[in-house]
Amino acid sequence: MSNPTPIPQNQTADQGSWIEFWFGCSASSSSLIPVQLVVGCISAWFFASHFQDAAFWFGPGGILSPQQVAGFLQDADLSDAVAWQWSPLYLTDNVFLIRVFLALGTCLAILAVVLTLVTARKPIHIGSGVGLAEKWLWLGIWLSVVWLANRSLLISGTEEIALSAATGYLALAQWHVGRPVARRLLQVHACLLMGMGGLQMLASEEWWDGTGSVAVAAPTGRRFPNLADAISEPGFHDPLTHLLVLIALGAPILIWTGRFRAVALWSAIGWCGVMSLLSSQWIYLPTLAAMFLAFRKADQSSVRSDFAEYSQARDTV
Amino acid sequence: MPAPFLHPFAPALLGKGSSLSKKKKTLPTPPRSTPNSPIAGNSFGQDAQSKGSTSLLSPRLQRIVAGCATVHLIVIAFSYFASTAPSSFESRLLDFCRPYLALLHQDTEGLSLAIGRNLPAEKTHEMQVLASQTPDVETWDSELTKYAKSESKAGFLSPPVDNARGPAGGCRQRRWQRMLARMAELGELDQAALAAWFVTPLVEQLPDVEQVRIVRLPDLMTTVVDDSAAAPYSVAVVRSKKSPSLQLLQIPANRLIAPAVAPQASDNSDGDSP
Repeated sequence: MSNPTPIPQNQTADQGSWIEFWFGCSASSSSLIPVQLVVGCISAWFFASHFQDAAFWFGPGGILSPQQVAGFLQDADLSDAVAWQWSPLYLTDNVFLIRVFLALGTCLAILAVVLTLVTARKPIHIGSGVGLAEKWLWLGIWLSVVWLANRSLLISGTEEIALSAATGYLALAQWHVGRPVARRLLQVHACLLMGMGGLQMLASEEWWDGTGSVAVAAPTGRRFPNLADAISEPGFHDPLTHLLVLIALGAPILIWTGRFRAVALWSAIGWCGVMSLLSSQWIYLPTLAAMFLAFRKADQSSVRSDFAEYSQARDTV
Repeated sequence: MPAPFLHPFAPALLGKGSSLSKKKKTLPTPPRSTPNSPIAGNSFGQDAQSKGSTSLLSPRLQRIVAGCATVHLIVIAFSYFASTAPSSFESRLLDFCRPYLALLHQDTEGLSLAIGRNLPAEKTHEMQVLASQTPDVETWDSELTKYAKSESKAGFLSPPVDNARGPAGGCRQRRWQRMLARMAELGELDQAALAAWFVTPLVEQLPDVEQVRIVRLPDLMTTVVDDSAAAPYSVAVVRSKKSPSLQLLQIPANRLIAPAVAPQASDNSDGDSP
């Protein structure tokens, strides 16, 4: 019988640091409270904004009624391409049922915000009624966002992508064992979104010649507030454009370093704020900013509380 | 007896050799960060002392979860990379990953993550209708709104078309703009028949409309050439007196294009050829 091959020391260290990367960040309940509050409010707004147009888009004779979408996909030979974009909302064009779904999604999101506020004031046990309710609430919100986004074929955009990612990770975070991974996923995904946006900026001339910020604000028929004239001075929009590109490319990298973490974090959040004002993307960019809030340090008292809870769990077992 | 505040699925999440299902003395101790730890201090793990939950997973399960999370992010990153101009390799790989991405609604489908690239899809679009055969610009009404109001049409269409716009910068208006941008794009690709699937429900509620077009409004970033371009989508409405159905016929844009005709043999005879 041969002896087991010893694992090289550096390999073990690499594996250890890799595990530490995913499981080493804070698993405290307070670390994700700001994210939950912002994403919960945005989710409620997202569902409520569909309510008035439910008949116009999805109702019988609506632009995106199941019959119209099926006919379009068949003619365009896209049935296979979107086959996995599944949603139960394709099964009906009943406006009442669709509105019930939207109202349910809005209520779930509002309830999740209220429960987050309650648990922020007084930490709760994971197995208590409130804790269990939070788990299923976030799972319901995530599924509702994904189903509505998948149903909104041709009219969905970046906000649905960011919101489905954020709510999905928050649903995972409600399970105590998944919280550190969920928090890390939120952080990396936020950096991916901003970094890829920055790289795509470089693909257009406007972000090189200093007019990129004007190009964001220029379609005034789609903007509120209308800042196109306010930033039309080259002395203002040129440095603003270069700064926006620098932050989009730099913050997702520098935020992982200790020295520049705080600067990069608040730069990224400020970037989202400025871009929201210029582009009127009032769901996508605030969701991205909320995902960046997962980089905030957890409240130390809450960390101790969670650690004590874990220790108590161990002792009881 | 299990702790009341442990998640009910916790035993299922524990690995085969997990000590939580055994005795208390074999429970793993949560690893504490040390000054030499890779996450200590100011590296990417910011508050390392709260790692209690991680110890609920066995090391093997931790590796599996970490691997799944990594693959998940790689697939998403790949989808984002392929959103600008995918190569054939990226397209094939994206087709393979599409079921996973679509189920999570992370498939970008060519959507740009950057704003302000001055793309046609980012411009303000407007749907206009013509209620007479005379191609007089003054008679075009915007987005069916004025027309529907003046005619006081019954049915769901007239108020929703008005409402679908919503206030500028709002979610509802952005969805309407995306729809118009898609239809304009289809019109530019000479695929007006596909766009007709979405225009027809609007038009069939308004019996007097005879032409529909979608235009891009000029802004600070458009040039004179852009502003004078033909409407990307323009169709005539053909109604049948015998049946309630209608047809949309694409009105071709006036383009200065040379016909692709091969030079005639006779052309060479009167030239300077020997």
